[in-house]
Order: sequence, then structure tokens, then C-alpha cells
Amino acid sequence: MVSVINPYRFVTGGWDPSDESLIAWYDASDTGTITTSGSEVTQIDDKSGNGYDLTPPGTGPDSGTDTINGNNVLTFVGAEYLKNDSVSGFNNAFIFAWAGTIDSISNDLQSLFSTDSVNDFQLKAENAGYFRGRVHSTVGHVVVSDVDRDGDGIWLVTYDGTGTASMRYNGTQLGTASFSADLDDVQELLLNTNRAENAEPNTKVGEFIIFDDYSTQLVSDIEDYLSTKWGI
Amino acid sequence: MEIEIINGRRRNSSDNPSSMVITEWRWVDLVTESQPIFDVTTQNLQRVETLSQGALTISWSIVAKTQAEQDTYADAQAKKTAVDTGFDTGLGYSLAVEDHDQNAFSRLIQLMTVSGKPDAYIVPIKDISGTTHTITFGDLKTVLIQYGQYCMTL
Repeated sequence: MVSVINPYRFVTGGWDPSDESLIAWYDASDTGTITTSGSEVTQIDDKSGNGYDLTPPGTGPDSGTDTINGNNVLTFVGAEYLKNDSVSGFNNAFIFAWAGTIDSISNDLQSLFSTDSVNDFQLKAENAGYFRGRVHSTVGHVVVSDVDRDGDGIWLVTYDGTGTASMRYNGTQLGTASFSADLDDVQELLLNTNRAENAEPNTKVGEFIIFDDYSTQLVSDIEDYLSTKWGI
Repeated sequence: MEIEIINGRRRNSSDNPSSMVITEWRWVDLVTESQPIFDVTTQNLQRVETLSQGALTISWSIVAKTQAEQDTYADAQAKKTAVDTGFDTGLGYSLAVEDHDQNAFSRLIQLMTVSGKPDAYIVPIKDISGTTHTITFGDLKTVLIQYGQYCMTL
């Protein structure tokens, strides 16, 4: 028998997403993970090591044209979004975390991110003029107050694995709801569009991380990390 | 990229090496193959992890959906499209069609009926985008009959 203490955890310093179980991790500040043609993104690598890279079905967002807190971001204008056709790990607890800026909304279906299969969800605007936020799922809905939440933001959608989903915005829980079932394990993953892939907001996306786990401590760690890094 | 292997599998965040019986602990290269193109309407993509002495390789396998899986997927897509689009009233706006929306319209029409409102009574209703419109109770009854028939097809 070998008994050891993990030295890695004692030398890395602050909390980092790679300390956790990840489904996928996209970080626009790590420009080495972004492939471009000119300034147009043709791929952003999944830093989780799971191989779920995102690519644009049509025109990709720009990289290298805007920053948040000094960090590079992806700039989505018009019908630009990114996609992976098959990502697994959604049929239990999870946390989706998004950090960036919502520049404008012109359709209530425009979504920061979504998944697409049978039991899936989208985080959509819910107002045709600004981003109010609604977790719109085939298994339940998180409905929140009708307030303009455009601008810089850290958005989390969580599912605890036992039937309760929540939506969080800039460190505050906006609402919760019961899900009648788990989401499907395998889904299409979409960044900056809805499930139907026809409603894209104008945004700047700094980081988008999906965790294969849920706890209040993990939520706190994620929000602290994103807030510090992106100055939001 | 390198990853940790503990006891013959990839380490996860719930592992606590200080309190585990560890028979194997090593670092290996992570090799990720690109996902192949496949048709999500008729096929699934399975993720395969293969651990060798020096590497963990992630590869992909295309598997045909069963007919039942294809039907379930197609039905779900059609319903989501209908939910996103809503019911076109023919009055220049659409009404939301999810279960709670249908219940809300049902309660509204019942309230108007029980309270004996005349057909000329003006009723405010919200469209799928949250914009408020006004409609006479008489016209609302006509619209909601068509709405109810449409929702039964979803």
C-alpha cells in the first residue's frame, strides 16, 4: 500500500477550475487555446482535457478585439455562436458558469448558452429589449424578476442532482425551481445561442466553465475566481 | 497536457489522496482525438477513454440512434420549436404555449365568464415577448378556442 499526501494541492496557491471535476472549460484570456482566421475564431479548445472543443457552424466571434479587466474576450455580434455536437456529463449535478458582458438584446429567445437534446435547457433573455434571464428547460423553469441585467455579469445555472435548479447573477441567487427529471447525459453544447440556434445576443464572453458537480462551496469558489479575474 | 491517474482511473475532485488507499498514482499524457462529424438526428457520439501505460486517450465512436430514439428526438425538437414560436393569433402577435401559459389563459377566460363580462369588455393580455395588448372579451374567446386547439397538437 502506498499512502501519500497530494503535493500538487499544496503548491498551486489559489483555487482554480482545474482543481474540480469539469465537463468543459473555455477561457478567452488563454489565447493559446484559441484558433483564428484573422480575428475570427475558428475553434476554442476545451481546457478541461475532455476534448469538447467549440467551433462556429457559421461565422465565428472575434478574438483580440476587446478586453475585460485587461483579459482577452470573444466578441459575438449578430448571428455568431459556437457549438459542440456531443458533450456528456449533464445527467447529474452540474454548474454552468459564464463571465462576460451582455451588450444588447433584441429577441427574448437570445441565450447566453444552451444545451440541446430532449431534456435540455437554455439561459435566455426572456425580454425582447434586455436580458432579464430565465432558465428555460424541458424539465422546469427558473423564472426571476423582470429587471434589466445587461452589462458585465457572472451568470451561473446550477443543478444539485436531486431536483433543484437555480440561477445566480453576480453572486446573488435570483431564483430556484424544481426539475421534474435530470437532463440528458449527452447534449449539444451551444455558447451564445438558444437551443434552436436562431437567437444570438451581442456579447463579450470571457470565460465559460461547466462543472460536473454542485455544492455551495463550489459556487462560492467559482464566483470568487471569476469576479477576481474579470473584475466583475 | 498531463493528468493524474489514481488506482487505474482518472482522478476526480472528490478523491482525497491523504485518506485513500492508493495502489497506483501516476501522471500520464492526455491525448484527445478530434470529434468526427456525425448526424445528431440519426446518430449518437460515444466517448471512449483508453488508458495505456503512458497516456489516456480520448476517442469517439459513432453509434446509430434506434428508431425510437430518432422519434423521441424529432418530437422534442418540434415541441421546442412550437414553444419558441408560440401561437400566432393573426393579430400581429403570438401567445406563449407552455403549460403554465395555457393555465393562465384558462384561468383568465374562466374569470371573465364567471364574472359575466360582456363581449365588448376590454381585456389586457401579454404576448410571448411580454408586451401587453388589449382585446375584447368576444375576440379573446375566439382566439383562445383556436389557441386551445393548437395547444392540443403539441
